Amino acid sequence: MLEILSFLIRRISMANAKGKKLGYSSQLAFVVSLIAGSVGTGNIWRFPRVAARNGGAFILAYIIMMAIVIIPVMMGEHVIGRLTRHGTPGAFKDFAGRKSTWLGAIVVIIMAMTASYYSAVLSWVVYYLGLSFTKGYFGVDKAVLFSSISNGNPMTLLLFVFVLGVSAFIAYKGVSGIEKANKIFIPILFIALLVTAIHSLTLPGATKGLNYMFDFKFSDFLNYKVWLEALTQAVWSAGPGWGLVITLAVFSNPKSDVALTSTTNGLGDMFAAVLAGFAVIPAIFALSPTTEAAIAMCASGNNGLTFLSMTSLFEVMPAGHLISILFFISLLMAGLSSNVCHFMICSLPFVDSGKDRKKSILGIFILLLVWGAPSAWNATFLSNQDWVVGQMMIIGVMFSCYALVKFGVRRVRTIYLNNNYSNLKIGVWWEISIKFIAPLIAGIMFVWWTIQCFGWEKNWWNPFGVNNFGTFVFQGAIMAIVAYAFNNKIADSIKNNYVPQDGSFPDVPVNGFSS
Amino acid sequence: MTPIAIFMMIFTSISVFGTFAWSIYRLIHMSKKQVSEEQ
Repeated sequence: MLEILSFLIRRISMANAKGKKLGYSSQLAFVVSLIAGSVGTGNIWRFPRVAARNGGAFILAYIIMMAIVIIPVMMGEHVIGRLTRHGTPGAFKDFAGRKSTWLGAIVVIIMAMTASYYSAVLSWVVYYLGLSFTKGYFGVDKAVLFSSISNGNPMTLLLFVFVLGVSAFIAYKGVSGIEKANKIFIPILFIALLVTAIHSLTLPGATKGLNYMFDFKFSDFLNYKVWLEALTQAVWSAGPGWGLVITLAVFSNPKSDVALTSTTNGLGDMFAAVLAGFAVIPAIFALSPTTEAAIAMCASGNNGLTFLSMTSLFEVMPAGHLISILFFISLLMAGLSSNVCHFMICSLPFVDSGKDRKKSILGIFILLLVWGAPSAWNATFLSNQDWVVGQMMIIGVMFSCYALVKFGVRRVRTIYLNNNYSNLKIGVWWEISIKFIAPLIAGIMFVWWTIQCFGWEKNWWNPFGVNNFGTFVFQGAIMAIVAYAFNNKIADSIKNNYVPQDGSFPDVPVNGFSS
Repeated sequence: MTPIAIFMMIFTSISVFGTFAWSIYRLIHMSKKQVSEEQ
């Protein structure tokens, strides 16, 4: 793996040295950017705990879901971005028609919401990274410490501004900035994960964790809840419906293979998730006093596992202090590389409308500062934003499927996926996936989570609740109304239509981000 | 570890790590071809 990574870096550096060109310097640089955008904290803290709870049946279901739903949708989104060469509102306008512009605008709003609270989560990670260096969390009550960091802490707020500033600065540098940043982020992420996994696997009793992670029960495989968990993991981790693939594909080479690139993107996301599983699960089972305690730890939620349980483990683990540093570095690199993409998704539509790149980034920075500060100050507010975004992302998958169906799935597959530059030939199965399987499964997942949320809070209808139906409908409706109200204004502001009529992909346009 | 867990671990490693390595190899091959065609 290290050889592949070093080759990758060499290839990217060689391409950079050949001189500046619009878009990514090479196809590999593009794939690395896609993987960097997809791999986030969800791979490192969500996948391991869900995998440990559900075993091998979950992992198999996850691989199947990635293959039949997520990777096909990402292929379609890749075509949308590369063909229209616009951020999501312009992409939906040129691909699915003027009346669909607002769907792309909703995606931008969802990503702005994501970036606002995600930056707050990253500020916690930076905080814990600092504490790892000084062994600051050793010997203290982990729950009290986490509560003090995530609620009303001025230092967290300061770190939140720092994380937002770094993300904005990298996004401001455009595609070349993202490439350069990922040359640092991605190797560090994978090396840190690999070292943590090797250490974790060598702990006495590590095989107990592997057994829980991979043990296959046929009854679990037939359990619909395992499949829904697998789909949820795949959607929330890989990033279809976020506008990520559409936005990054805007800058891709028109003469490269869409299907192979998207497949590598999906596989890269799975690679990071499974590697994180090897890093986290064996350690939990090896160091927990009982198997029951280890399972309870895996059921303790994302924040609970990372900031309470893992920190407790690092304290008793051999060389735990160093592994703690590596773990939080990998979490930070994964999160930061995704956050930069969130910035790009939010800013590109303004550049498409003829706005200055600098002003667009600055505007988004200020917006996210105001929107995200409550999350950095109050963990309950953050939890609310996380819930709303999770549900909206599932809807985002349906938007992408709708756009592809409206444009014509046969047309997309035969003209754009299977063109002269394709190494992987895509069959009719892709059309079936986009037309029927992906929207149906996304719909089932949306309904399942919605039904589940009725049991979480007594006042499920309350629009100001934390994780309930009312708050999702309230905030989702505001997003939809705002986006719909501005549909024509946004559509009119995006003047250029780059889509050629001859079935080819247009060249990367000259805009603030493309060089 | 149970035999089925060992099998699943090998299956997952091959299907995820193996196919990822294969797709990266294909991309590198494709990039090389593209560069030589452009030259």
